[in-house]
Amino acid sequence: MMASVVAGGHRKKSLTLRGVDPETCMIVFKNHWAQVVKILEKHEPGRSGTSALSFLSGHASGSGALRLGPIPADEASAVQNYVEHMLFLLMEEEMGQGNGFETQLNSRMLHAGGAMGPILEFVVVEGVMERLFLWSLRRQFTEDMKLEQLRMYQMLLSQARQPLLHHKPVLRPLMMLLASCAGAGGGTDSGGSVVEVELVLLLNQLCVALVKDPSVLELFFHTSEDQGAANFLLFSLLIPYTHRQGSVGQQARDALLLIMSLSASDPRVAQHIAQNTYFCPVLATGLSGLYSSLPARLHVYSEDWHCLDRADWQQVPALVHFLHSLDFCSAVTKVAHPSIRSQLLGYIYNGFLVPVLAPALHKLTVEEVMTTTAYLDLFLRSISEPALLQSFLSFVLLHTHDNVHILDTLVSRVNTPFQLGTVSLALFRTLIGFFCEDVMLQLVFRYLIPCSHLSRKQRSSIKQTDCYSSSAASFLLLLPSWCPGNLHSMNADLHSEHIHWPKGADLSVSDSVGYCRGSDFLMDVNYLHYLWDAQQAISISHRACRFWSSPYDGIDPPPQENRSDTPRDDIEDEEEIVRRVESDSICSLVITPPPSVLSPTPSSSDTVSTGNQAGRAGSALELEWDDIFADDDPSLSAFINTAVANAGVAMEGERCTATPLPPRHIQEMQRTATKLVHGSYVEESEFEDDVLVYDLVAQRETKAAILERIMAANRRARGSISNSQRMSTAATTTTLTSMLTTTGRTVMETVNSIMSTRRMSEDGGKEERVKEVRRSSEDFGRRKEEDEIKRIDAQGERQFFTNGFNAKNYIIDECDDSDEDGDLFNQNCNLSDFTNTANHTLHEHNTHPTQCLVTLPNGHSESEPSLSHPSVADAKAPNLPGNKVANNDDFLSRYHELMLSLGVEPDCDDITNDISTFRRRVRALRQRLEEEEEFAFSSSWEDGEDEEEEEAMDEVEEEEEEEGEERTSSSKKGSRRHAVPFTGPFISVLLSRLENLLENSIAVNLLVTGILAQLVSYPQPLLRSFLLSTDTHSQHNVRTLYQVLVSVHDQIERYVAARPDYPGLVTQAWRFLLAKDQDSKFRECLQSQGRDIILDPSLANGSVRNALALPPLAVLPPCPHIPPHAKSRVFAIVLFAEFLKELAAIAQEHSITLDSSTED
Amino acid sequence: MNLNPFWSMSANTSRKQRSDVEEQSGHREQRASPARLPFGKKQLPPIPKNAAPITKPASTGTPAQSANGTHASYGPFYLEYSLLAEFTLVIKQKLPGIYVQPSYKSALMWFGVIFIRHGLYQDGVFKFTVYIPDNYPDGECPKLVFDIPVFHPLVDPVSGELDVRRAFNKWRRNHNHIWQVLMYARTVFYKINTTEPLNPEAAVLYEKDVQLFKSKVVDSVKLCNSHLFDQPKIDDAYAISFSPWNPAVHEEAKERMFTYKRRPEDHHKGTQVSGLSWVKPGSTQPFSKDESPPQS
Repeated sequence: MMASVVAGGHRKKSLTLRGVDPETCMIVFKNHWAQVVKILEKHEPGRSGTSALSFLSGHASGSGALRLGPIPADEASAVQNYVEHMLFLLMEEEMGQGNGFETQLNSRMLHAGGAMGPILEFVVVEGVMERLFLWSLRRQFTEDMKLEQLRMYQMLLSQARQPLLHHKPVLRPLMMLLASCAGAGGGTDSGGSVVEVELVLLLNQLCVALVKDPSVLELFFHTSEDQGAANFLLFSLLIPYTHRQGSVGQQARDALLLIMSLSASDPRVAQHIAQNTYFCPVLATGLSGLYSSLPARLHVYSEDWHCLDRADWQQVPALVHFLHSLDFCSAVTKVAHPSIRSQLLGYIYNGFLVPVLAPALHKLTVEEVMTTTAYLDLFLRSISEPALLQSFLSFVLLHTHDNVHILDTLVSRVNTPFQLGTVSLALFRTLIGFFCEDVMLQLVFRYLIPCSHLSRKQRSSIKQTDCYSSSAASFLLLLPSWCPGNLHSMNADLHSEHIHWPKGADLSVSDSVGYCRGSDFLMDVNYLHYLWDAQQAISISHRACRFWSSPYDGIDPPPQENRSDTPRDDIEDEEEIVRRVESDSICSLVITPPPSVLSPTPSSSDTVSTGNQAGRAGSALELEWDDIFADDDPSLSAFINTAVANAGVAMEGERCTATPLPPRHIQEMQRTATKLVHGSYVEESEFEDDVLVYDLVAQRETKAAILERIMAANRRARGSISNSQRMSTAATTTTLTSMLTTTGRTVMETVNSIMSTRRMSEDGGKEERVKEVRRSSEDFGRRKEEDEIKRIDAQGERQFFTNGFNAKNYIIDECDDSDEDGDLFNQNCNLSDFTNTANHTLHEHNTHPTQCLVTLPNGHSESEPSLSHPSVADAKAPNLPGNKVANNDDFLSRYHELMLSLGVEPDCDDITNDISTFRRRVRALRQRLEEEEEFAFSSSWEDGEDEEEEEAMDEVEEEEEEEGEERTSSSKKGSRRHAVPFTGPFISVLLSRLENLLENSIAVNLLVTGILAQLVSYPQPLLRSFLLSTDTHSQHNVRTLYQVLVSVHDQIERYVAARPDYPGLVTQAWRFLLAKDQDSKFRECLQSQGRDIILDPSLANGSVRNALALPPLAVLPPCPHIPPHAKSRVFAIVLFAEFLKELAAIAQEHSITLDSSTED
Repeated sequence: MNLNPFWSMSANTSRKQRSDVEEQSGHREQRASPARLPFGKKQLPPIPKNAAPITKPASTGTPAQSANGTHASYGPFYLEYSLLAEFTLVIKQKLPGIYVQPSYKSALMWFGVIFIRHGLYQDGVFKFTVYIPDNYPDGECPKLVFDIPVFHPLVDPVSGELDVRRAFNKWRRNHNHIWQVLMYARTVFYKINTTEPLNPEAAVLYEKDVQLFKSKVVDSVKLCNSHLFDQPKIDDAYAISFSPWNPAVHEEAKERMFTYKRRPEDHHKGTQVSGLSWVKPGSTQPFSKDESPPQS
C-alpha cells in the first residue's frame, strides 16, 4: 500500500538514489510508467485525457466504475509498487539545468524557478498524476484511496526538490483530489476521520508552499476558475476546521493563518476572503457556538477564588477550546488584511459580544453572572491583539444592554457581597492593567477632568511634586498604633536612627554609608521592597502611558472646556436640556426632600440653598448607593436609610406622623435597597439563597444608631413639608404649574412603577417616561411639593443639573434617548388607577415603611416586588423587553445555519450584518456618550457662581454646626451629599469596599488594595494627586483614599481596643508573613541571579554574603495559631498596614520620578 | 546606603566633556540610563556594613510628628527621598551649563561643575561642592563652595564659598529648592553684584576699575581651568574629575550617548506592556480615533 511507502519514505530515500545517474533514473521511471500504463489501459478502455474531468462533472466516473469489473488485487499492488518507485525518482530529481529537454512546455510554466528535470517533464507531459488519480477513482474511491492519494501528495510536496505545484498537470489532479475530499469536513464533528487528518495536513503543506512562493497562488486561483468553482478551494476547504479541536484544528488554523498573512500583502486574496467566503462569520459565530457550550456555572472550590487562571481553565475542555478559537481570532486580526480584520471584528462584535456575551452578563442568577464575568475577564486577559481587544473593550465601555452601559453594570457589581463582587474586582484589575486610556477615561478620568473635586488651591498644585514625602508620612502614620512598624512607636527610634552620612567634608570616618535603623529589620527590608516595586510599577505605567492622547494633568484636557459646553450650544438645544433637567431634578427632588429644610431661618435665600441641597441629596443618594455595605462607618450605612426614610415620609408626610420604625423594617429596607441596587439581574425565585445572605449582611449592619437617625430625619422631613405648605402660598407661574403637574404625576408614576414592573428602567429611559407624563398629565392636580419645585426653578437648576445628571447617568439609570418604547407603563394607566394605586401604596407606607424604598433610586425601579405585598407583585405588568426586529438578511440566516450546525440555538436579536453597520453603531454609541457628557457638564458654572455656591454651602455647613447633637450625624450626611463633584462610581465603589476592609475576605482585600495600588502608580497627575492627597479638607468633601484609610484605621483601633489579645496575635502573624515573604524573595532573587549577586562593591566584604545566605526554613517564625473566625480580620489588619507602606512607597517614588511631567 | 542612582553610569562617561553638544547628551544620557536599577539591587540586602546593632535609647518623649506628620521629624526615608526629589528637580530644570552629582558617601553632599559660556567669566569651568544641612529642608540653606576660590565679589577668596544666603534669606521648604541655589550660582557670573561682598577687593575693582577686574577674572578663570585635571579635592567615588580627551576612552562613551539620544525607546523595548489608546488627541471620548488603528 501507498501508506507503507509514505511511512518508509525517508529511509528509502536516503538509502537509494544517491549519486545515481539522472539518465538511468529517467529510464527506470519510463519503464515503470510503461508497466503502469499497461495495467491502467487494460481497465480503462475509453482512456482519454479528458476523462478526469468527467469525474468532476459527476456522472461519468460513477457509471464507468460500475460498468467495469473489479480490478484484481495483484494488478493493483503491481501499480502500487511501480508508483512507489516512480515517486521516489520524482522526488529525488534535481531541478533541471536549463538546457536539454526544454521544449515548448516552458510556455506552460508560469513561474517556474528553473527548468524542469526530465522526470518531472515526463510527468507533466504524460499527465501521470492525473492518470494515477483516475486510477484510484477507478478502483472505487474509498477512504483508503483518498488516503493513499493524499499521502502521495503530502510526500511529494514535502520532499520534492523542485517546485511541482507550478505545473497544472500536477496541480489539477491535486485540486480534484481536494475537491473530492471536500465533504470530509462537514461530517463528523468529533475527533475527525483519518481522511480529515491527512487532508488538513496536506492543506497545511500547501499553505506553507503558498507562503514560500506566492506565485503558486496565481495557479490556485486559476485552477479554481478552470473548474468553474470561483472559490479559493484551498481556503474553503479549511474553513470547516476553524473551530475544530485537537491537532487537526490547530493545523487548519495554522494553515488559515498563513493564508491570512498572505492576504495582508495580496489584496486579491483579501478581497476574495472578505467577499466570497464565510470565513469571518464562521469565526465569529463559532465563538458564539463555543461560548454556549461553556459551563453556565462554575463550581468554585474556594470562596477566595476570583479569576480563571491557567490551572483553572485547563481543566475545562470547552474553555480551552474557546480560548483556542479566540486566540485564532486574535491571530487573524493581527496578520490579516485590514478589510478582513475589520470584517471579522464587526462580526465578533455583532455576532458574539452583543448577542451572546451581553445577555450572558445579565443572566438571572448571581452564579451565572459571576461565571460570565469570570469568562469575560479571562477573554480579556487572553487577547493579545490590540485590535481585537479594542472590540472587546468598546463593548465593555460603550455598549448598552437594556439601556444600561455594560461598564456601569460591572462597576455596580463590585459591591456585591458575593463572589460576584470578588470576580468583578478581578475583572477590573484586568481592565486597569491594560493601561488603556479609553478604559481609564471611562472609569476614572472623565470624572476627574472637570477638577470639581478639587479646591482652587489644590487645582493649582496638581502637578506639584511632593518633595518631602509628606503623603508617605501621612500614610505611614496610619499604621496601627501598636504595630511594629508604626511611627509612633518608632518615633523614639527615629531620633536615634540616623543616617551615617558623613557630614561636610569629614569623609575620613568610613568609606561606606548606611542607615542604622533602630526598628525591625524585616519591616525595613520589606519597605525597601515596596520602594523598589513602586519604582518599577511607576516606570512601567509611565512607559505604558506614553502614547496616551493627553497627560491628564488638570490642564490638558482643560477642565473648563468640559464644563462650559452649553453656552455655545444654540438656544433650542439649551431649552431642550433645560426641560430635561427640570424633569430630572424634579424627580430627584420629589423623591428626597431636603433633610435640612428645618433651617432656623426660612428666608427665601435660605430656602434656595436648602432646595439645592435637597436636589443634591437626591442625587447623592443615588451616587452613594454603593455604600450600602459599608457598615462600619455608621454614617454610611445610615445614610441610605435616612434618605429612604425621608423619601417615604415626604410622600406620606401630609397625612400621618412618622412612627418609630422597628428594626425589622430597617433590615428589610436595607435588604430591599440592596436588591434594588443589585437586583437587575436577579430573579426572585432563583434568588432565595442569596436573599438569605443579604439578610445576614443586612442584619449585621443594623444598628440602633440608624434607627435614631431615621427618626430624626423623619421629624425633619415632616417639618420640611409643613414648611413647604407655608411656602406654597407664594404665587406660581404657569410654567410652575405645568412643572408641578409633572411632579405630581411623577410621584404617581414612581409609585406605579413600583408595582408595574421590575424592568421599567430597562424598558425605557426615564426621560421619555417623564416626557410622556408631561404630555398626558396636563390636568393633574397640584401637589404639596410645589414650593420645593419653585425653589428649584428659581435657583437650583444649575446644580441639579449636575447632580441629577451624574447620578442617573452613571450609576443606576441610563437616560439615553433610547429608541425602544419607554412608556409602557404610562400608556395604559388612567388617572384614577394612578390615584388608587398611589393611595394604596401610600397607605402602605404608613405601616410598611419598607415600601418607601422603591422610590429610592429615582427612575431606577427594578424593585423587587416585595413578597409581603402580593397585590403589588401581582400588579406587575408583563413588560417584556421590546423585541428588536431581527433583520432577516444574509448574515443572519447564515448565522442561524451555523449556530444550528454547531448544535446551538441561535440567539438572534440585534445582529447587524456588516462592518459598516457596526461602525455606525459604535459611532452612534460614542455620540450618545458625547451628548451625555455635554449634558453632564453643561452646568457650566462660571467662577463667580462657583464662589456663590461655595458660600452657600459654607452657610449650610455653619448651620449644621449650630444644630443640635441629635441632628449632627444626619446633617453631616447632608453635607456629604454636597459631594456632587463626584469622582466616579468606580473610585467610589473601590473606596467603599476598602472601607469595609475588616469584613472583607482576604481575596477581596488583596484585590481592592492591588487595584488601588495600581491606580496610584499611574503617572497622570490628576489621578495621582487625587489618590495620594492627604489633605483632610478636600473640596466639597469628596471622599478621598486617605479619608477612607483614616476611617479604616479608626475601625481597627476600635476593634483592637476591645480585644487585648489582638495586637500580639497580629504582630506574630505579621512577622510570620514578612519572614515568609522575605524568604521567598531571597530564594527568587538567588535563583534568578544564579547566586551571583553583586550587591554593592563596597559591601562585598563578606558580611553581605553571610546575610544573603538563605535562612533555613526552620528560622522562619512559626505561624501563630489564629482562630479561623479571626483569620480574615487578622490578615486584613496586616494587609492594611502593608498597604499603607505600599502607598507610602509609591508616593515617595512618585516624588522622585524623572518621568513624571515636569513641574511648572 | 547611598544615593548614586542617576549617575552610576555617567560617572564613567562624563569625565571630560567640554563641548556643549557633549554636555547636552551627557544630560540625556543620565536620563536614559537604567537609572535606578542598581539602586534597588543594592538595597535588596540592605544590611549596611556598619549596621552594628544600635541600642535603642529610651523614648525621647512625645512624637515629633505634628498633625500632618512631617513637620519636624523626617525618617531616613523621608530625608533620602527629599534629597532624591531635589535631585530629580535639578535634572528636570535642565540648568544650562550646570552639572551636579551627589556624592557616593553622602546624599547631603553634591559635587558640581559649572560652565560659563559667555560674559566676563566666559570659558570658566568651576567645580564646586554643595553641602546640604542634615536637617534639610528645615535648616539653613545649602552651602555652595567652589573648589578654587573664583575671583568674584560674592565668593569668599579664602574658602571659596559662594554667598548663597543673600539670595535665600530663610530657607523655606516647598518654596526653595536646591536647583535654585545652582541657578543662583550661575547667575552671579553673568550679573555681577557688589553689595556686601565677600571679596571686597573684587567688588571695589568692579566698581572702580573694570579693566583690572576683567583681567583678574581672566587670570582666575585660567587658574581654575589649569587645575581642571587635578584630582578631585574630595576623595569620593562619584566626585567629578576631568581628564584630557582620550579617544580610546571617550570616543566610545560619546558614541553611546549619541545612540541613546537617537533611540531613547530602545532601552525599554520589550520590557513591559505598552499601553493602549484609541482616544483622539483633544478629545475626551473613548475610541474617538478614526478607525482607531491600534497601537502596536
